[in-house]
Amino acid sequence: MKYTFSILTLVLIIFGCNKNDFEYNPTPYTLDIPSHFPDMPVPSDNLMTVEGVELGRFLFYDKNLSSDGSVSCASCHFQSKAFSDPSQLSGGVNGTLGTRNSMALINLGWNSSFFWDGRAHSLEEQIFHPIVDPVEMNNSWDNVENYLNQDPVYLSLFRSAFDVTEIDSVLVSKAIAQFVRTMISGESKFDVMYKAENNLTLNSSEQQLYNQVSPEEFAGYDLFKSLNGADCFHCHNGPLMQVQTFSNNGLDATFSDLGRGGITNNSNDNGKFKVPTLRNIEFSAPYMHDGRFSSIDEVINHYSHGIEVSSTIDPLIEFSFQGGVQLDSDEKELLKAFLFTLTDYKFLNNPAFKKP
Amino acid sequence: MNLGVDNPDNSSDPSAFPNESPLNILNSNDMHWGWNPGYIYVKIEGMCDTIPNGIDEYNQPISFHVGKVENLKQLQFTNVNWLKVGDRHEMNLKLDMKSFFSLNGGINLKIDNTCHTAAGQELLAEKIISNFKESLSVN
Repeated sequence: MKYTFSILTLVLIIFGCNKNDFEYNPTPYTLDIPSHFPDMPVPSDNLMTVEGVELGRFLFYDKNLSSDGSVSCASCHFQSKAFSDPSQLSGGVNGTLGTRNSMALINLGWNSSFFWDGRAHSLEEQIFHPIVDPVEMNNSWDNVENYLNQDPVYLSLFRSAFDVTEIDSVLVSKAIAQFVRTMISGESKFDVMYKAENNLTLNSSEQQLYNQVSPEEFAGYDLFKSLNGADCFHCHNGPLMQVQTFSNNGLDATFSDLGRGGITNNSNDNGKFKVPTLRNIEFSAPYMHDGRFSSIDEVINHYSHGIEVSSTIDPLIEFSFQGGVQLDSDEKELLKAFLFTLTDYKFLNNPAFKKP
Repeated sequence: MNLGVDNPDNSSDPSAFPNESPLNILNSNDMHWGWNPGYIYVKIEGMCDTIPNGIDEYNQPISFHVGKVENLKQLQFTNVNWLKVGDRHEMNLKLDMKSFFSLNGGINLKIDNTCHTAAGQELLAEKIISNFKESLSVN
């Protein structure tokens, strides 16, 4: 018995020495999910930890992940712009321009495809693209790994988050994915309208917000949902204010950008792009995959009388034959009033999302 | 089995079903209208050519979305070929589109090309889901 005890002690000492007395003990991160949202599907090989989220935040704001130290994720995803880019086409290193507008990063933990053409199927996969894209961060993963492995602060952060002494690209993507999963927006005026409409109990501050909803905002919501009104809700509904699909929303009769079709090589997908959320739309200008519309008015005018018919147009754009839903000027103002209720100031100002 | 979703599920919170449930809003996705009136039971969408002039011009949208519990149908099949897929069993059904458009007096796409089970569309909604049901068979 004494002999066994000695061996056990020896083993413990050896392990202790090998780990430099470092104890891996990450704190599980509890997502703050609004009560009217589904559970977030988090991959079992990348469970959320406080340490992982914090590391992801450092990486998200680190320009040294780009080839010349000039571009971070945040360079094209500004919190004040709902983590989108106010530039029509987003700029990469050396001022190179991409061909699309940066998408807003909102509630991505519930999304199942990423980029306007849906070429990535998970957040972890998505993060592998911008670092090496020549019109974005233009770097190589070898460079990124070398940089991080030479930085004692990162070595310590990665060790706390993932129990590793060597940093690799998979862990970088996991950490950033964890941070992005915390970017939840569900506390706008629309949310209390949605909850009240569906008989969910409002707490006192929600009730207070609900009391501030104007008749114009309610009327705009009715138009938003009405088949003979603006008819927006077929693609923008539920707590996410989007459906998980790709659609040709009548921007062009011929396509300079094939969108989803460029990924699937199926001509039936040409001109289709991911349906984005409308949350925080007041701040996520410009709009559409190519950022062609600089204001919400231009977007409403497009759906109202600017629809171009093509072979892949979404059948849900039911009034395409007459160019759109033909809202009059009063209806356009009401619809816009409703769209502003999707602004979530807490999300836009949340200190947990700011540069560390 | 049901062709559609019965109450109380049809009118309950689509976010509250477990992640793996097909009724969870993330899985049902665009087969749901919002809590009231609930799930879309049957959806047929496309573009059609309504002018018989010999020129292909598919510019008329077809959008049939039928739901609401009064339109719920029962399905029963015999001689089903069950396929083992992983740890589940699946059966394949086929939908005869010609039959769908011609049963019960037919559906004239020149006139009846949109249905969202809204007020005033009750007869068309009933015809669409009945024709859908009667055009399904075991594959």
